[in-house]
Amino acid sequence: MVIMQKRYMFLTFLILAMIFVIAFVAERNNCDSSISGQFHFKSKKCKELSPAKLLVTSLSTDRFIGVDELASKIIAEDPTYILIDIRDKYQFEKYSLPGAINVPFNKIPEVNDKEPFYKSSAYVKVIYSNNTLLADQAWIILRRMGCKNIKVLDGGLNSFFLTLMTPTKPKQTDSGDAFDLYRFRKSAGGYFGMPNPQEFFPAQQLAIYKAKRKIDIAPRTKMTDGNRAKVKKKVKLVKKKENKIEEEEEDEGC
Amino acid sequence: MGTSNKSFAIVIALLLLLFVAAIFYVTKDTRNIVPFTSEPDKVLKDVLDEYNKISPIKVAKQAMKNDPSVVFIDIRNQYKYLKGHLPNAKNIYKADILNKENINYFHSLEELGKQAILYGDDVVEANAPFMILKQIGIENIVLMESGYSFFENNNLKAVSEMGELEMGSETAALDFAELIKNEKIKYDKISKEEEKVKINAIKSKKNNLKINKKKEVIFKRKQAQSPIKEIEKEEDDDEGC
Repeated sequence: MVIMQKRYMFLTFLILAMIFVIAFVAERNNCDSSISGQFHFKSKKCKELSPAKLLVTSLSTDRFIGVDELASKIIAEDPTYILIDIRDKYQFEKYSLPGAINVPFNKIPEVNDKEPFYKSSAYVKVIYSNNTLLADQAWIILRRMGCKNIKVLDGGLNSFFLTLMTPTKPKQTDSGDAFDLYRFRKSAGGYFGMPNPQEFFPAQQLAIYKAKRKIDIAPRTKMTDGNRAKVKKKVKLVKKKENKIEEEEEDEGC
Repeated sequence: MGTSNKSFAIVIALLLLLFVAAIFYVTKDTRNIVPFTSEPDKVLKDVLDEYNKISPIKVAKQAMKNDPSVVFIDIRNQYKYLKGHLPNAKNIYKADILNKENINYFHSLEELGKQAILYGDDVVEANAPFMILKQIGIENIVLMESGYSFFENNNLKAVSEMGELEMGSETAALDFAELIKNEKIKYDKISKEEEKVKINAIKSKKNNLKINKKKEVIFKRKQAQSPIKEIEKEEDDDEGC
């Protein structure tokens, strides 16, 4: 009896040891260790991609985000969008999109250890530069290091300024969509600092302008004996309104 | 006891067989044929290096000369390749670029001392295969700085005779901060002028109201005074009959 128990114990121990070894070997293999000849025991390097995987993810053009889409996300203050500017410090300080962080191109490989949002797929990281190519190259490096959910601004800041901030007015024969896009771009440009021109008013200013016009167009009634009191009242009201508008105008110009 | 010993031995033998089979299955390496050989730092330096890019004008010149030391590689799909490609270009679809035969082809080019120039529909399309090949360790490849669409509109000969274009894509097209400043200055000027005009209009209307009021007061005073004078005049006329 005792010998039988020993045998079974030996058997179970052997099986457990085998399972452990198999799991260990499997871990090492699926680790996708990208540097050849190096052995990593479930370490950070595990998260790096293999060339085949990287090629497959780079084939789709999903990683590009258009200028209009990005502008609408910035205006909506979407908290899951993080803008990364890969130009150098001087260009970044001169001008950058609101809320962007600066990671110069030379310092991209060091990003791995810094912030946790690079690894998480909950945040959408949008890389942008003056044009598309450098941002795309940064994307490949970051993707190889294992960062998830990274996008590239298609066209860069050049396209941003040439299409969004200074849109061309569509001709009368263009479709309604073109006019909608033009309107959207004008109002988005207003958010980013471009002043709205006279041809396109936001709602508030339009209301004030209309109110002013009513007062200017109102017909002047003749002063006859019976009318005197009413007309005096109207003149007083008109004066009051004009004073109010002047006060509002003063307030606006801060 | 003997049979139990035998059965025990059989069980252990079977287990060992399973164990060996399991290890064999797990270590079967179908995917990771080619690993990366360079760290991201080196990749960065490679990317910024000027010698890893070539302008389309130089490419056109080499194509016109039939330069033997250079091979064009079209990474688009075969339909686009058949529509039109650079002369003597080889078609390797970008998804197949890590196949064994293609990698051997690149190595053979290296042995022959030739340089491979990758191009696609635009720079960004060829960028990913270029970078991946570089990271695998293939050195003799170069990226063309624009796409095949550059040659679709312009004849190959015409392109080869163009002056060197600055394809430097990383420069800003315009000074962004200056643009916003200037637009604001312009708008402030315009809005100030318009405000002046409006204020003047309102002022003039106020003045008109005042003037009208004054006129009416004067008119009433005149009316109050004038009836007496008219009656006096009528009496004078009656006297002379």
